[in-house]
Amino acid sequence: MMEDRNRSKMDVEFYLLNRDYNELTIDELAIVKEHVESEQEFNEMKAVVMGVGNIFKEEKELEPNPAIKVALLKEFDKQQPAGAYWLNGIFVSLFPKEKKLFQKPGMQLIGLAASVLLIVTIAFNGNTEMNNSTLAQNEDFKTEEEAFEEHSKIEKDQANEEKNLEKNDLQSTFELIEKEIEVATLNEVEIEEKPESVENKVTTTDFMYDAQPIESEDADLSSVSDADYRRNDNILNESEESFNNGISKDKEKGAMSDDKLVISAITPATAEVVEEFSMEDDEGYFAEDVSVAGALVTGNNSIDLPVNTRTLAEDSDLIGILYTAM
Amino acid sequence: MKLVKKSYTAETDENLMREVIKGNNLAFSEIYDRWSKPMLNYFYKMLWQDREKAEDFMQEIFTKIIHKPQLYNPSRAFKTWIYSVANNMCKNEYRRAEVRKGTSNSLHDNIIVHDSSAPDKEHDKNIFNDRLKEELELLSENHKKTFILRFKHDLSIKDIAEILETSEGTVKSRIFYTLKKLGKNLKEFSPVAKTIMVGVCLIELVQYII
Repeated sequence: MMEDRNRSKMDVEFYLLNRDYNELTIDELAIVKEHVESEQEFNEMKAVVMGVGNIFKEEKELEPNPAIKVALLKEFDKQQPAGAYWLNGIFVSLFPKEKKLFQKPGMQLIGLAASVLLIVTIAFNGNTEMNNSTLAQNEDFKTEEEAFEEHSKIEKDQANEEKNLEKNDLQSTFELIEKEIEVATLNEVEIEEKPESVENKVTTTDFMYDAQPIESEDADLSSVSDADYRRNDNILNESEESFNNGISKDKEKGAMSDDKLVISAITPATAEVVEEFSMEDDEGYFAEDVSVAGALVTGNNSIDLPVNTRTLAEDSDLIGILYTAM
Repeated sequence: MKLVKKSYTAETDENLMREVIKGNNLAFSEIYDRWSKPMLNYFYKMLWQDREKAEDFMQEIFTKIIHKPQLYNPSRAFKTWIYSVANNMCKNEYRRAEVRKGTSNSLHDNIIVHDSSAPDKEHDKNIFNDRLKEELELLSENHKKTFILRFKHDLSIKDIAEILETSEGTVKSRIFYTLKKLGKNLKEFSPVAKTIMVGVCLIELVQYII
C-alpha cells in the first residue's frame, strides 16, 4: 500500500483506508488499539471512511457562475489605477473562457465583419459598368481571325521571299556554270608539253554532263589570252588588273605543276570562275577534283553545288581592302 | 516595449498574490480560476447546501482579496489562508443563523431530517450515502468543518489546524470522534453488522421451519 500524501502510517485513518482488521501486523495493531476498542468498532469506522470517500468522489462539484468573475474583474479594475493596456488583455476580453463560443464578443465581431463583407460583395458584384471615357481604348482592335489572317499572310510573304532568293541564287549559279562551260569548251587551251610527251593534248571537259576528256591538237599555253593559270594556293595574289579586265595571263605558268592546273576562265560576269583540275601527263583527263566557281566536281562526274555563290563584283570591296592591305 | 503580458498559469499561489497586491488583474484572474470552485463547494457544504448562499460567500471572499489584498501574508501558504478566511466567514454565518433560529423558532430549511421509516432500502448503497450526508449535517460545526476539510478537500492535519486556528491534536481528535460517531450511527451498513444481520435472519428462518 502506498502511503497517502496527507496520511502517515502513524494515523489510524491510514489503516482504516488501506487494511482489514485481520490484515494488521502486531505493530500496526498496537497503533490501532490506541484509538479503537474492538474489531467491530474498526469495521464501523472503516465503513464510514470508505463511504465518505465514495460520496465525495461521486458528488458533482458546483461550477461558479461566470457572471461572478466578470463582476469581480470589473471591481478589480475599478480598484486599481488605470495602467497600460495589454494585447492579451484585449484577447481575454474578446474571447473570455467562461462564455460559449457564439457568446464571445470576438466571435460576434468576426461574424459581423463577415456579414458586412458578404453584403458588400453581393451588392457590388453586378455593378461592373464603368465610364468608357476614363478608360484607355484600343481603337485598332482586331478580332482573333483577322489577326490570324494577317499573321499567315506575313508568313506567306516571308516564305515567298525566301523562295525567290533561293531561285535567284540557283539561277545565278546555273548561269555561272553555263558560262563557265562555254568558256571551257570554246577556249583552246594549249599546254606546254614536255619534250618527251607524245601528243600535245589539251584536256578539257564538259564536266557538267560528261567527264570524258576532249583532245585538242596544237594546244599552246602561250596562245591562251583569257585564261589565267595559277596555282590553287596563289589565287588571292592575282593582280587587280587581271580581275578587272577579266582576262590576264599569268606570267608564272612555268611554275605550274605538271599534274595539277588551275584554269581561271574569267568573263565579266563570271570573274570568280575558277577551274581546278588535275591533269595527268599520260592520260590527259581529269583524275582528281575539279572545282567550278566554288562547286566541287569530283572525279565520278557528280557536282556538289554550294547554296550561296558570290560574284567578284560582290566581293570587290573585300578585294579592294585586301589589296590596300598588301 | 512589451505588448503581451506574461502568462501566470505556472506561478504559485503565493507569487500570484504578490502580483495581485501590485494590481495585476491577470494574476487575480488566475487566482480566481484556481480557487473559485473549491471555495464554492466548501461554502456549499458548510452552509447547508445552499447554492445561492455559497455563491454569495464565494464572491465575498474574492471581493475581500480585491479590496484588502494586503491582509494576506505572502510568507504563509495561500491555501490555508483562504480556507481560514472562509472558515471565519462560516463562523459568522453560524452565529447569524443562531440569532435567526432564536427569532423564527424554526429549523433551517436546508437541514435534511432523517426518515428512518424505510428499512427495506437500508442495504442499498444510495441509502447509505444519503444517511451519511444526513449524519454529516447533524455534526457540530467544528467537527463538520474538520471532517470536510479532511475528507473532501484532502487537507493535511497541519493545514486544518492552521485554518481552524487550533492544534493538530485537536484536529486528530475531532476526526477520530466524528468517525466513531458516524460508525455507530451507521453500524447497520458495516460488513460485520451485515453478517450478523444475515446470521440472525437465517436462525430465525431455521427456527420457523422447525
